[in-house]
Amino acid sequence: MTRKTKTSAAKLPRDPAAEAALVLSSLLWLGQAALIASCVAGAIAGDLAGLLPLGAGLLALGGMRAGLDFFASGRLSAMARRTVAAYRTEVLNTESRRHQSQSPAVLAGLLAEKLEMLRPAILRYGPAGLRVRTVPLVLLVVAFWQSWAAGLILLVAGPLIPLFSALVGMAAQQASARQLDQMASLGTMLSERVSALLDLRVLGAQTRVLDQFRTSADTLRKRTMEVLRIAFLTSTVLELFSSLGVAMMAVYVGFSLLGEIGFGTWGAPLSIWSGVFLLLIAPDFFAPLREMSAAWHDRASANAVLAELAQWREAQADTILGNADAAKPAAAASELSLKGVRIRRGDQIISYPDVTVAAGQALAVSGASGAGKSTLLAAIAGLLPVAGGQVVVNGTLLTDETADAWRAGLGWMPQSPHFLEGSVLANLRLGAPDADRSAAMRALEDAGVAAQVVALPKGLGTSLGTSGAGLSGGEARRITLARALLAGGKVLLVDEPTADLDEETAQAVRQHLQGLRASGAMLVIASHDPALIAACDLQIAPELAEAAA
Amino acid sequence: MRAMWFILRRTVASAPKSIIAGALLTVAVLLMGVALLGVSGWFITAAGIAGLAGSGVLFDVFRPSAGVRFLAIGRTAARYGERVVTHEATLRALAALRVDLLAGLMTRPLRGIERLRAGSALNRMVADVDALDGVLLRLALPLGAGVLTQLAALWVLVWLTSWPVALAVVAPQIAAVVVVVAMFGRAGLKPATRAERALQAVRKRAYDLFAARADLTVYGAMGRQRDHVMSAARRLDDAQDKQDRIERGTRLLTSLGVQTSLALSVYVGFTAVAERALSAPLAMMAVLVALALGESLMPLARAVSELGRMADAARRVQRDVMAVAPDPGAAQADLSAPMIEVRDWRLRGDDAPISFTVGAGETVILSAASGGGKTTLLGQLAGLAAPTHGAVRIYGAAPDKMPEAVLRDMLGYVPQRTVLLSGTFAETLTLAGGEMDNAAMQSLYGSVDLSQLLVARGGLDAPVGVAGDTLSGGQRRRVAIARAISCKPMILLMDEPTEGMDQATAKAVLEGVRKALPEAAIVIASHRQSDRRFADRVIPLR
Repeated sequence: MTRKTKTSAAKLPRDPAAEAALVLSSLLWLGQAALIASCVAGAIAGDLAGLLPLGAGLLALGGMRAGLDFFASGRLSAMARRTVAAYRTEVLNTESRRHQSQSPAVLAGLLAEKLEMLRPAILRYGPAGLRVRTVPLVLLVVAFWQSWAAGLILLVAGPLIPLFSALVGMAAQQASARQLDQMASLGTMLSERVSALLDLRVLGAQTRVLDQFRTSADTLRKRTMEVLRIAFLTSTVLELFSSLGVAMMAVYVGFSLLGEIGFGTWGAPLSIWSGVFLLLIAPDFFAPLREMSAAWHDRASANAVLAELAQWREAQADTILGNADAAKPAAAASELSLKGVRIRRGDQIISYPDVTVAAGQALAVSGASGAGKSTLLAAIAGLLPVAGGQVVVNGTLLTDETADAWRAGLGWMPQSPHFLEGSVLANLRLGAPDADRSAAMRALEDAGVAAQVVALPKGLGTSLGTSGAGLSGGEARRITLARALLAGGKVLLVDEPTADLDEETAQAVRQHLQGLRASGAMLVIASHDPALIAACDLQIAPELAEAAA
Repeated sequence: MRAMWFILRRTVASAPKSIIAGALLTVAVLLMGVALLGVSGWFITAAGIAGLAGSGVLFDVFRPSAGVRFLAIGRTAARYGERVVTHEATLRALAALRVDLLAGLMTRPLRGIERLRAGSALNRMVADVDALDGVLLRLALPLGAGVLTQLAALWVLVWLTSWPVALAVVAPQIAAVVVVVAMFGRAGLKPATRAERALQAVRKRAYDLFAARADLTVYGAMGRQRDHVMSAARRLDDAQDKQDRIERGTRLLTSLGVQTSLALSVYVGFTAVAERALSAPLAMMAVLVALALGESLMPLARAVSELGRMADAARRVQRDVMAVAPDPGAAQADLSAPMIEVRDWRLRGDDAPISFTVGAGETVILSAASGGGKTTLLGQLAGLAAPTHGAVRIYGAAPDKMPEAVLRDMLGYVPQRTVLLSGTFAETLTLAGGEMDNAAMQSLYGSVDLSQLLVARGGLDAPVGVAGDTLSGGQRRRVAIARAISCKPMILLMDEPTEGMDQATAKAVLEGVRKALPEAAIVIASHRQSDRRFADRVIPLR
């Protein structure tokens, strides 16, 4: 499983131009070091001509380095934007054609902040990783060329750099993963308590819960510190080797120049120029490693996101029929037939009796909760493919080609309401973007919820929470009924229209549905309300056909 | 900015000694790094001169080379100490901040609580606190230590070399910092705020799209919603681009500053050598100091790019932490007054006024069509809001004016939407801190007809499940009812307690509750006809 995730895991993109610029900028330091070394050698030899061009050369090379870095980071920034946007579009386009998928909160988190975590990895970890792979190697060759002893010092101080960076990386990744877990569990704890604020308050449990939370927060802090101490120790080893590397280089060069050490070169004694040059390039041998360990956290988070993306790609889900975009409604439906319809749900197959509903008729889909009533409504709306049989509208089969036009003539009342961000009016207009306020009010009256909406703080302009905060469950559901009525379709798919309602209101809703039927609408109603089922012309119940292979 | 000070002060106050120690160590790390390169440069140049003059034997090699080694090891040790100390202090401060944040939220008024639950405010709050760890670690300490190091280097260079050389080294670097702060310090705040807002919009709109996908598909509005998400995403990208530009600009300016300082130190230093005003080893030292000092500016870019996000988070966290509301007041309960009294109460101005009282051992059902004000009235009786028309009294006092502890002690309330915390069945009952033996707990769960479930789950120490999600809706409500009656309240308010239960269970639960609290005044909001049998009276609202 893990291996599978790894092979299909998306990788962070690379940009050759930016990479070339980054490496070049690091290597230009060799030129600068050579200039400074000539200057020192000249000063000691008493020959200090041409200081101005030398300083200018130094500045020019330095300016080029800064410019190259600026250029590379610009390309990387643009690439980060493209990458994040591409993933975002992919998730959004795929998901908008799925009927059911992971939890909305998880997907929204992936689409919003998680994809954003790819940016710092592209901007910071990418360059650091590249430099680690290239710069030390070049510097090592240059150091050996000047003096094998100097090369040896670098080789010893940075023992097998890949192994070393892997060690640092492993420890740091483990530490940051564990630390993230700790942080996450504290975050979960906080969020759980915040979501239970009202309960805690009415129980008078605030003080005690606060004390518990304080203790947990403290324990977590201690544990996090234990982990961090180890992580810091690892990076301290890195620091130690890089400091010692520079120190050893300085001591070796100093003693060689004094003549106390006579070995280490390819023949002639170490020149002053070489000595200064070697000392200057020593710190840059270690710089990329330190840069990389500073960016490790970015990489760890990015990898987690890429793994989640890979998992998401592997997840199978049914796609809807058609495109889910606005379409011209087909001619008013006069007949809807189900012929041998079977629908797969998880590892079950549910089958439905054949039935034909005409305009002006109501079909009740009855059965215990979980029997497959809502599933049938989804299939009739073209949200789910059928595993067998046919859904036929006016003699035409429901397919990808016909689904959008069919849906354009539908009214739809889901089982659990979800309100989009925006006012009540905006939500009502979902299926009728051009409807005016008075039409919206009429629909609310027909659904028996007008008085309650008017009583809201800003009436039709009130913004509702996602689940309809400020309204009772029954009121929220009746607003979705009003939305279906406003959409003006001649076919209505309604899911449990009378659940959660008191008897009086339920009676009003039943009467209104009867009125719609009398005016020629076709109704498909999922319900377990006996009074409502009895009032329908036709009735079917889903059957659990078999467990799918 | 003021909010950042607030956070910084709190962070420092959480462990002032360690933070001062951490700050000193941070400076020490930078200074030792500068000294390591500086001394090395001086040493090899001096050695080169001595070797050339043939006076190598007389040259004191011991002290410089020992100094170099000491600096190398000392720097490493200081770095480790600094990291441990500053992280410890930061974590301590953040933990305290989370506790204060929760305390602030707990005293929020009812409406605020509802809004929190509905929206993504919570997500944001958790992320905000996490973002604040950088205030000390990536902003205050590196910048403060960087400035101190630059100044210390200036002072040492003036002492060892001359003003012109010292300025050639330090001035371009300080100038770069000043230019960066002037150009981006303030400008960096806006794109961060904008990016944060756009990110919230992306999340909310995407959540809408995923949660309402069936609705959007049927109504042909999927394309519109997708464009809606993408337009927020584009705004986010634009804001991020701007932030990236600021970070890149900062990097460009600081490296130009360091490069200028390097070139100038070579030119000015060795010109002084040519004029015999300065020795070559000291000139070389100045050059390497210029190089090493550049490291102290490196955290600047990241700090500037994170500044806006931190300032934004600090502002919200400060607001929430400061929002601890005072206890509502000191209305005295009068034990001779009716337990519950509702006088001339109306939901809306034009409704018929309602008055009733409830005494010990009585059960009253409020019945009304949905939207009739049952939930509103119960909330007002529970002291969560004041009535707009008429009055409600608990033992003669207005509940929203009573001291919180007194009111919660005598009144239990089961709201319409309840949330269970993760924990065991036993922990759920002792949430408020009451002591209870196992037999009492089992009998409480028996009162709400959960004895069988309790056995099936493995007893009182079995987990309820994260936020109660292993239970059905009806079971969850029954656990919540058991939780409410575990405190033996004198008054019990329940909002649709039997929703999601079949008739037999509903009957068992209501009977069990009455048996557990024989003397309590019980008010139930219910629209179920079958519940009415248990009431002494039914009060229709409207």
